[in-house]
This record gives sequence, C-alpha cells and structure tokens, in this order.
Amino acid sequence: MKKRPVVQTICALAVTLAAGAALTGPAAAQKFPTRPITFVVGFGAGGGADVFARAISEAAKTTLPQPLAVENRPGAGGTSANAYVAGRPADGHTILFAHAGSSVITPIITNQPSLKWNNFAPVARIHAEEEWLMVHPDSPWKSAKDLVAYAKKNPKKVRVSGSAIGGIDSFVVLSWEKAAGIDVEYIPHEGGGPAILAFLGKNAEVVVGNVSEFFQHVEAKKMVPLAVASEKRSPIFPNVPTLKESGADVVMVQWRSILAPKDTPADRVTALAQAFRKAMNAESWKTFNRNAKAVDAYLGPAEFRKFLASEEQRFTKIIDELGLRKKK
Amino acid sequence: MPDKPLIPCPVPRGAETSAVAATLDKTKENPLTETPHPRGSLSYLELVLGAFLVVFGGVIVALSLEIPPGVETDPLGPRFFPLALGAGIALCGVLLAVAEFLFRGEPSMAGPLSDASPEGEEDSGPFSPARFLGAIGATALYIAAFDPLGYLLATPPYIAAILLIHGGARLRTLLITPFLVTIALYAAFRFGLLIPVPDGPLEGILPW
Amino acid sequence: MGFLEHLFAGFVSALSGYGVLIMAAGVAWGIVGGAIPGISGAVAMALALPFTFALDAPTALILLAGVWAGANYGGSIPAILMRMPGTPASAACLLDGYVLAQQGRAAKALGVSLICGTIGALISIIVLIALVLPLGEIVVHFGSPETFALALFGLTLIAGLSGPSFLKGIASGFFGLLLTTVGLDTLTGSMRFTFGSSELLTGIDTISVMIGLFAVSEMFYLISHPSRPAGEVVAGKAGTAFPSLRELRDVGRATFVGTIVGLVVGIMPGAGATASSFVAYNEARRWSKRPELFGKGSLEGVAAPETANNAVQGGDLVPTLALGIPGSNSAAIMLAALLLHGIMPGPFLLTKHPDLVFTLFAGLVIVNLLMIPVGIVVLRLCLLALKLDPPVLIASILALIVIGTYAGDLFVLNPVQALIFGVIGYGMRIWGFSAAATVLGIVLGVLAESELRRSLIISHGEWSIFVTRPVCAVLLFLTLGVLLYPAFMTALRHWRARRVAAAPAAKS
Repeated sequence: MKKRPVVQTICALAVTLAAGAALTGPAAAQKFPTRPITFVVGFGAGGGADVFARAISEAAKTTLPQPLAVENRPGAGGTSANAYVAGRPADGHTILFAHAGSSVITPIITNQPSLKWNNFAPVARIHAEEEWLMVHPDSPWKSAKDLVAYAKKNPKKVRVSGSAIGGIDSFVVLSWEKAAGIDVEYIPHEGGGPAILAFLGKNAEVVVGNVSEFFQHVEAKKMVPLAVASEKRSPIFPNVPTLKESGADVVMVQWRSILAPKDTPADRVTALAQAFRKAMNAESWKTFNRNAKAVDAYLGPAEFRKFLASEEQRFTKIIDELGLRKKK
Repeated sequence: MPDKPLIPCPVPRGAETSAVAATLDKTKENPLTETPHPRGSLSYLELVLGAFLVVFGGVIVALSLEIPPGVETDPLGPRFFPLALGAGIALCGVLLAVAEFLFRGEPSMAGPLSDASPEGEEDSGPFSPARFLGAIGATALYIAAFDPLGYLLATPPYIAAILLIHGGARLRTLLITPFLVTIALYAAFRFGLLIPVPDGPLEGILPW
Repeated sequence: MGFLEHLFAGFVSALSGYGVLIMAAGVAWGIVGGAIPGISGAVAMALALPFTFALDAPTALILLAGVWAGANYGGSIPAILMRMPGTPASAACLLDGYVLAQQGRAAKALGVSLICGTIGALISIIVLIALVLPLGEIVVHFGSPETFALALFGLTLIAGLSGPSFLKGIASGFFGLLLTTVGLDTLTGSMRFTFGSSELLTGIDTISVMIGLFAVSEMFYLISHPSRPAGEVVAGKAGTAFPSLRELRDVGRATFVGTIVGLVVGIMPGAGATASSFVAYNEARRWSKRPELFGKGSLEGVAAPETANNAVQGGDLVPTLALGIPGSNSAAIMLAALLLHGIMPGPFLLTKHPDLVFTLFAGLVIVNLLMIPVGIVVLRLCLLALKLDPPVLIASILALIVIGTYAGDLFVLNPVQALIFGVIGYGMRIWGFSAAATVLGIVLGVLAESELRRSLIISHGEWSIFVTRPVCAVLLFLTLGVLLYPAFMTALRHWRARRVAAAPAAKS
C-alpha cells in the first residue's frame, strides 16, 4: 500500500529539484512571489468555497509568476484553516479563503476573536452571489408581498427550506421574519443540495439559497424566483423585485474573498490584490462566473477592510438578536 | 434460565458441513465476541461496568440539560436525542447490574453472534499494563510533536519506541527500520499524494 | 442520434487517446488513496483535481470516475488485512474480512471484495445508464421521513453486533449515536458537547474514530499481549489463494442482496455508501443460508457490504446527473470539475452535453472493468506488507494511521481522536462492549436524529407523517417485522420443541 507511489515519488522529486534549481537565481530574491503560493481553504473539496478558490487560482496563473496551490483544511466551520494561516509566516506565500461564515459569523458565535477577519490582512473581495427566495411554479404567491400577507395570517404554516442554521441562508430568513413581522417554519439542511431536494419533493413551500444552485431549476420550470435579498435588482432575473422593494430591508449576499496573515507586508498584499484584479479579466474566470451565476464584486485591501468592519457590525447585531452567541 | 440467546438468528442453525465451517474451530480470536466470565459466580466487574454506565449516562443527561435551545427550535429540539441516549445508557447499566444479580454470569442476555468461541482468547498472552501505557504514551507524544517538530523528526523516534515497547525486534531492525519507514511514508504522502506534511524546523532547509 | 449511438460514441470517446491509460492511472490512484486510512474517496478525487485542469472535460471526468471506483475498493484492503477501514464505507467489511485474514484467508476476502464490488458497481452503472431520468423523478420522493426510516432499519443491526452481552451492545450503539450529536447542531445552531472548543464545532471525524475503535485498539492489544503470536494474527498465513469459482458462487446471494441495497440506498439522497454497507451486511446475514458464520469469517459478510458500497456509485449519480444535485461528496467533486471546465452542471446536463454524459457512462463501465486487473496488482503488493516482521508491521501501521488521519483534513485533531478512541475501543473490547455497534451508531446517528427532527418540522409536529408516506411506512413496517420476527420464531421453536418432547413421552 505504501510501496506503490515510489515511481511517482522519484518523478516528482526529480521535477521538484529541477524546478527549484531553475528558480534560485540571484534576481529571484527581490521578487515576490518566489515560490508557489498556498491558498488555504477551510472547507472540503467540491463545495462552493473550494470551487471558487480553484477557479480564481486557475485564472491567476496568467497574472502571477508563481502558481497558487489550493490546500483544503476543513474543520470547525472553516475556522481551523483560519487558525492555521494565522500561524504561518506573513510573507505573502500563504493566503486564506474567507467568506462571511468563516471570517465573521463563526468566530463571533464561538467567541474566538483571534480567528476573526481583523486578525488577518484583508487582500481582496472577489465576487458575490445573491441569495434568492424561490417558490413552486404552482404556488399561490406571485410576489413576496403575497407571501408575507399569507404568512401573517398563518403563522408557522409556510415552510422554508435552506441550509444549516448559522449560514447565510438561515440569516436571510431569520432577518426577513423580523423585518416583515412574520413567523415561518425554517427547515435547515446539511447543505444547499439537500435543501433543494426537499423543496422539489414538495416538503417546503419556499426555498432559499444561492442562485447558482437554483438557476437551472428555474430554467427547467421547477422553481419560480420570488425575491432577491440584494441591494438592487439582479441582472440574472431583472423582473424580480428585491426583498427591500417588498418592504423588508434584508440585504445579504454570499461574498467570497481572500485574506493573508496579519503582518504580511503591504506591498505584497497590494501585489496580490492587483494580480487577482487582473485575473478577473481572464476568459476562464468570466466563464466560471457566468456559470456560477456570481457577479464580480472586487474591493481592494483598504475598501475591503472597511467592508469587513461593517459586515461585522451587522452580523454581531443579528447574532445577538437571535441569541446565537455562545455564553462566556 | 435456559441457555438461549435473547434474540436468536432468524434462520435456525443447521449442520455446518462446509470447509468454511471447519475452519471455525480454528478461529483464533473473534473481534465481535469477547471473553465470557465464568458462569455461576457473581462478577463484580459486571456490577462495576453497570455502575459506570449509570454514571456515564447520568453525566450525559446532566450535560444535555445545559444545551442551549438555539433558534427555530423543532418539536424535539437539540436536547432530545442526547437526553434519550444518556437515559438509555444509564438504563442499560441498571439492567446489566440487575441481570448480573439474577443470572450470575449466565450469558442469557447474549446477542446472536455470541454463542460460539468458547475458547475465547486463550492463546493471547497476559496483559502487560506497562506495554499498554507505553504504547499510548508514545503515540500521544508523537501526535503532540507531529506539528511542531515536523513529520521527519518526530517519526523515527516514535517507530523506534513502538519497536522497543513491542520487543522482539533485532538491533539491526531497531536502528534501520524507523528511518526506512519514515522516509517511505514521507515520500508516499509528500510526493506521491502531494500532501503538505508538516516539516517543522526543517521547513526552508529541505530543498523542496 | 439514438441512445445506443450515443453510448457507442461515448465508448469511442472514452477509449480514444490515452483514455484507457488515464483511467487505469485513476483507478490505481483511487485504490491507493482509498487504502490509506483517513483518505476518503472524495479526498483522493480532490487530490487528483489539479491534474484534470490539463485535460479536456470528458477525460477529466473519466479520470475522476476511475479514482472514485478505485477508492471504493481500496478502502477494503486495509480493513481486511489490518482491521483498519481505509474509508468509512469499508468499516462493515472488516467485521468478517479481518477474521478471514486471521484465518489465513486474506487473499480470498480481498478477491471477493474486488470481484463482488466490481459486479455491484457494473450493475448499478447499467441501471443508471438505462434509468437515469425516471429515477431522477423518484429521488425527490425520498425525503427526511424515508431516510429516518432507513436509519431505524439499519439500527436493528445493533442486535447482531452485540457480542456476549445484548445490553452492552445496546449501550455501545447508543454511545455511537451520542457521538454524532457532538458539535454545532444543524437544525438549531446550538453547540452540543463542545466544551468551549471550536475544534469540536464540526463534530467528531468519522473515519478517525472508526480507525481508533477498530485499528488502533487492535494494535494496542497486540502490543500489550506479548506472548501472543502477534505476527500470525496480523498477517494471517498471508494466504495468497484467491477465491475459487465455487466460493464465488456461494457468495452470489450476498452479492445480489448487496447490489439491491446499494442501488436503493444510493438513490436515497440522505444516505450514502457507509450506511448502505452496514444495511447490506445485516440483510445478507438475514437472507444467508449460513448466518451463523457472520462475524466468524464469512465470505458473504465481505461480499455484501463491498458490493453495496460499490453499487452506491450509480445511485449517487442519479440526482447528480438528473437534477444537478450531487448525491455524495465524491459526486460533488465531479460537478466541481465540470464547473471548473466551464460546463454548468444541472438538470440540463444530459440534454445540453449528451456527449459528455455518455462518455462518463462509458468511462464508468470501462473503469470498473479495469478494477479487476489493477486491483489484483495492487492487492498482490499489499499482501507483501504482511511479510514484514510483526513489530515492524505494527509500528508502521500506527505511524501510517497518524499521518493518514492527519492528511485527510490536514488537521492534527484527527489523529488525536484516533488515539483517544483507540484507548476507548480497547476498553470496550476488554469489557465486552461492541466497538462495531458504536461504529454503526456513528454511521447512522446523523441520519436518525436530523431526519427525525426535520420530518417533524416538515409535518408541523405531526407524527403521522411516518405512516402517511408510503415508502416510509413500508420501511417502518419492515423494521418492525425484523424486530418481531426472531421473537416469533423463538416462540414457534419453543412450541415445536415441546411437541417433539411430548410425542415420545406419549409413545412410551
């Protein structure tokens, strides 16, 4: 069992040594990056975070002199990767995937400020995916207002399928309940896929989640978009109003971004941010984003830091209102 | 009490004629069946185990009551399962002790897979607590050193320690094997599967 | 273009270029990855993912299909040889596989696992190819209540895994169920048994705990019982005789049962390969002509779970291809590969990219055929490991366990769990508890709890949901039957025995 990869090993060894020899010229010392950059993802392979990381890494091949290698370190809701990256040398050769869940929500809920975004150097926000509410094609509700009116008269009757409590999906629904003054039955699932299956099996009247997972079901006429939880209407279904338009001020998007260890030199952070920004023009990235139904939402290091601070405030408020934060 | 399992196999046991059945007699040790204690005498071990289950189940029940209800609580809630399981384990403990008093080691509460293997584990040697604790301690130290020392530095002493604790290895083996195994595993993981094995202080010194 | 033409084109495309070589490499990679403790099929596929960037989409898919199929088999190698499940799905096959290895029939067990697994996978792929769209319609009807009923059905196996004490077996099973409640509760967001540590947020690591309970405890046992001929126990007689045709025929019934279970459980979205293997083990025993051999070295006890966990592959792909919703982590990586190749997975995959899907179909068939030759080569090499000195083998296995469980998630807490549960498993073994029942609880715990609670949310708190849904009602009825049938049989036998005893008395 452990003898098998010997041949691969020798090949890999030879290749690595050759590559190393080629790069250790005197000029290499000045430049950054000098070796492959490790892109740590706190979630397992095949999930949204992982696919994002791999796609942007592939696109960045053309804009960075060194490749990015995605490293999955799943565990503790993404925060075991935070802990790992926090302990890595701050030389720009290790970067970290971050979204609201791993860099803001989970550290707040578990009372681990050391793993929160402000103990890292924000590099760039890359893209965002909208959160949608969908209903069945034969649903009696034609708009979010219809649904709210029904839910007000029939508390706990409308069932909404989504992913686990503590994720963005659940926060959209819980905030919506508060903002619209309704009480729906939220059915949490282990992930977006099972939530959709439960909805398609008519175990729920509404499903909430990322549009990338819904889009083809809308095309297949199995789902009808009801509302989007974004600031303004989405280019994907421009006829569908926002939740805000329907009177409930709920704005929540699933953004995906990159952090670096806290003391990473500013010039290296800037170099990385610019490389990512350029990578977003690559054809492969555009195709990926089109398929993933995500919109580019680039923010450079400074703006991204401000954005994160505002996100933290917002989520702290929601989490405390829900009483989700662990007691000290 | 009849010597009968509580829940027998659905199909009555027939004559075992095959060669497969013949090898049964030679079964050295069966991971599913354990040594029964001698029948007829009250086993204090069983009583202690019953008491342990009661305490363990009780602790679980107590801890379950501390679980916060969370948001959007479903009809059963997050406490229901741990509570039920804790109570169930405690109940098993009570029944275990009661059964011991009543039946004195008769395997009357046996499951269907248990009735064979009367030979138990007779060919295994006596238990050596020193070796047992040594193996646990060595492994614990190894895991603790795994990240800070790195794989390459932590593994050879560990393998040597296990060889020493186990005994029976020749001096040559003791000196060479730890390094061979370490390098083989390192190569397989680091270069075969391309997994970033921790390098510890060697990071930056290694040419890759 | 008709269905068969599509399929033929798929085979041509899969076999073109270096197709066969790439698939064989994928299978080999998968077997090795699956055999390493802690590296699951999904992790092995993820590790192969970077290589797929250089390939076109169909080739990338068949490479991943090869890794997937290989890993399904690979997990059983260390399970049989060393009582160390390489993947969670191979935990059921060690119950008999390791006993067989101790009896010197390791190669027979490995051969049965390989051949029956391949048969199961091939049948499930054929069913997938023929029925993917109609089955896709069925998938959505397997909701939470049905999955809960399946979990209950599977839990009846606790009785069979109990060992000398039925009560201790139940307690062991409860302990396993309890372990799955550790961490952040999906349904309410409350933290359970985390004791303030965020490391336990995502709960216990299934495979590390399994390896601890089975393999680490076994190694500790061998080390701490010095005069035992340890080498013989670990190595068996390193028997290299493969199963005979007669033996293969004898496991036919178990293979059939395993295939059916694998197909059905595979299509159910909540359950997976691991649950299927335990259910198949239980069912094969129920339907076997020699149920008494189970747990004592039954080839059927290897054939059934291995067939089932391989047959899950086809079922997993049903929601993946028909609805664009991955049926398992492995299927999710296939979809991720598609997305990274600029193809959008979803319900239209089959109509928009038939060439791709049919290449995948063809690839799955070829890959599973390649399993036999590649598998034989790898298992021959693995059998060599048993020629090592016992102390060296034990030390190497322990080192492999630590690095393997670390490598899966690159998380040092995983080997810690393996160690802790190694000690617990040792205690359970000494004091007559059943580690196997605990593992069963771990496998079915999340299904049992989450799906039960979710069912009640869906039904607004009405318990009647479990009897008003036909599939669920049938499963629960079966469970009840399974529980009551033995008691009924015992009563019947008692009654017969009394009549037989009474008859001669009357004559004399």
